[in-house]
Amino acid sequence: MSITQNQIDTDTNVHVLAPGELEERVLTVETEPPAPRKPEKEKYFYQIETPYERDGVRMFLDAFAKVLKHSNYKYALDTYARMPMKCGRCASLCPVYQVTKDPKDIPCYRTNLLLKIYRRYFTLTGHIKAKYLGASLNLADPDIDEITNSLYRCTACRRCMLECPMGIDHGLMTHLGRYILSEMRLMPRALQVSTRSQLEGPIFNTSAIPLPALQDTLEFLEEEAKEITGQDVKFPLGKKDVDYVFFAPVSDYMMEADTLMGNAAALRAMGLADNWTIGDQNYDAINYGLFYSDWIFERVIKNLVSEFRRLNGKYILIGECGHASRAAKVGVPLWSGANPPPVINCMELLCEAVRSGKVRLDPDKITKKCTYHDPCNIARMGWIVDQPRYIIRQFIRNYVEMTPSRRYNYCCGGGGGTVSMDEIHEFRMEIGGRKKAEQLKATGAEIVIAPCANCKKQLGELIRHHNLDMEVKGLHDLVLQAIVWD
Amino acid sequence: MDYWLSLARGPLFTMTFLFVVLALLRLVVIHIIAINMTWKRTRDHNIVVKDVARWVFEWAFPIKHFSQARAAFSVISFLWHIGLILVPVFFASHLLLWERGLGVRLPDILKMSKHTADALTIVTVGLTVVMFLFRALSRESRALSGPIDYALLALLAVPFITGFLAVHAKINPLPYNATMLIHVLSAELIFVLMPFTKLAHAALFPFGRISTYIYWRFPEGSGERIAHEIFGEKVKV
Repeated sequence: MSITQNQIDTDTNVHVLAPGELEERVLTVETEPPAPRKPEKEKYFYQIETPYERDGVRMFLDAFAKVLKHSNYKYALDTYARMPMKCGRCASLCPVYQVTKDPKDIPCYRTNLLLKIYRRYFTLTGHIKAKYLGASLNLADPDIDEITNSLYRCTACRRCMLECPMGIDHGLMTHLGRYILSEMRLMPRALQVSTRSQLEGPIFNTSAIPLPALQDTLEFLEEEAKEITGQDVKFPLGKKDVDYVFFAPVSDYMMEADTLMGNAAALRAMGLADNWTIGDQNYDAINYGLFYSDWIFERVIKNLVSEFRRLNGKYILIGECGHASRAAKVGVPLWSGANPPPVINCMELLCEAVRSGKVRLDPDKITKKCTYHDPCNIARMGWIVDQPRYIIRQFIRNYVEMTPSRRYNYCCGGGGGTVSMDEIHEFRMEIGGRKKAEQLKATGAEIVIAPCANCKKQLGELIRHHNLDMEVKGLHDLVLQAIVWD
Repeated sequence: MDYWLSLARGPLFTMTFLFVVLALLRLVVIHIIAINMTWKRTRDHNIVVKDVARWVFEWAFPIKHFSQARAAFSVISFLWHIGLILVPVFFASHLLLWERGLGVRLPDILKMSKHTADALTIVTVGLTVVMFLFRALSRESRALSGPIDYALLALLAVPFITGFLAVHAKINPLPYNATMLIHVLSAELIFVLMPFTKLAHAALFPFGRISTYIYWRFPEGSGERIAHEIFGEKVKV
């Protein structure tokens, strides 16, 4: 295959191609002749709905080329490909590598799987080297299989990024790799099924909870909240022209009732009882697109904003969920058109209310020893780190900090969508979550506060698996018990 | 030998130096263009420049990160860079080279004395050996490293060793001119390799963090366009 000056802009070393040229180039890349393959589900350590049967290399390079053509990833790859130090600092921060000690689990190794392909197939020097010096890489199906497995051994916690001397974001590379794979239908079935339900199902949420069931649940929760607080705590549904449109991860409606009651109670204590609502056409903040697909990421955000605009709110309020909060915080400014609405996490709102004295918390209600788990998606860049601690300090006297914590926290082991993949339970318990289990044990706490639906599920399983004598609670679960009502 | 040495010190030095400056400048321009294009394609322009600048600066002088991961390696790497940057630029004899080859005269106050340069050179060479050993003996670095990573480390030590030998004739087993020729040519080889290898971080260092900060800002509709090209208009989850 020859490369002409027109095809590659040598001034920038970034491909500037006319429509169709890139695919043509990639499809004419000389690769190993494709061999027919039978589906081998067992070769992946998680379940895939439709493993590709043939021509994996071509599909992968085709998807890679199209992603580069339409997105900004080529710029990130171009930067990262020029300066990996391969120093191994990232390894000393990765909770997975620290347990397995397998070089293939080093974040930089994983990133390099993609960078090698990028250099070989999508740069001028890669093509020249391949032509005149011999290819350093001839992509084959086993390479695709390695990438497919490797990328879901990463919990996308981005802890490694904090200590890369060059600032390489291995989390972004994991996201890109998963995205390319998803464009050839290689993604965990658990995520695919949930996302399909959310975007294409009749109910439009990941857990397929129908509106009547939600209404029943909320009525029940109002009664429960009345018993606990003695107050008329309401869960407005589909109310228009309010300030706050509230989106919780839909799993909260089924499994984390105390968190939801805490949210509603806190809003009432703030004087916002009549000024917030849950959407009645879209009530799910979950966005698995953040983990593996940009178009799913964007569609979910657009649906969320659409519901927000239909209800004519002023703020998008996200419940206790790390990835949903980050997805909205990142995605809403990108995909909401002009004047994107502000995105607020419920702990930010509560922190301000506690700080201003609108909400008072009784320091005698929670007497058990507590610790706090920072969900990676809201803590890693320092967004929500101080706010929950400020709230906790107001009413929990018996508190112990984990080490390390805050931005340097360890992932629960279920990040990046892996918590939804029951088939890798053993991996999550013994590898991904082992460091967190050790941390939890070292605190001696009786309650671990985890303001994230994913983390709660993973930590609950970890506690049972490692026989730890503690329970998992959301921050609002405890706030529900401690609010002082005048 | 004199001819080759004068060639290496004169036009070859000027050429390679200009090459590395222009090539690194080109890379910087490419990265600025890329950031600018991303900026134009994204709707999220809410960037706190102060935060990014602080993040980059924090890692240019990463003292607070020494204890976070692989502390010994981090400290040694930092100290190693000090000698690596200061001696080639500020050693008095090099200032003459800058003046002769490029017509650039730095103020005398910046001149590094022979004794300081000697000390820094010994430290830098010693630390290069330690860096090499760290890479070879650390399980993680070894797993990640290829021949080029070791070769670049070794190459970086060559001008320091030969420079030291050139000014200490008593311990130099080679003739002065041969030593100087290796000294100058190895430095020029580093210049030539710099834009094509990870040594490019000498100029691109800030862009790693800027990239990490900016490239999560995906362009609107890019995902849909990709999906439609692959799966057609009726794209399904």
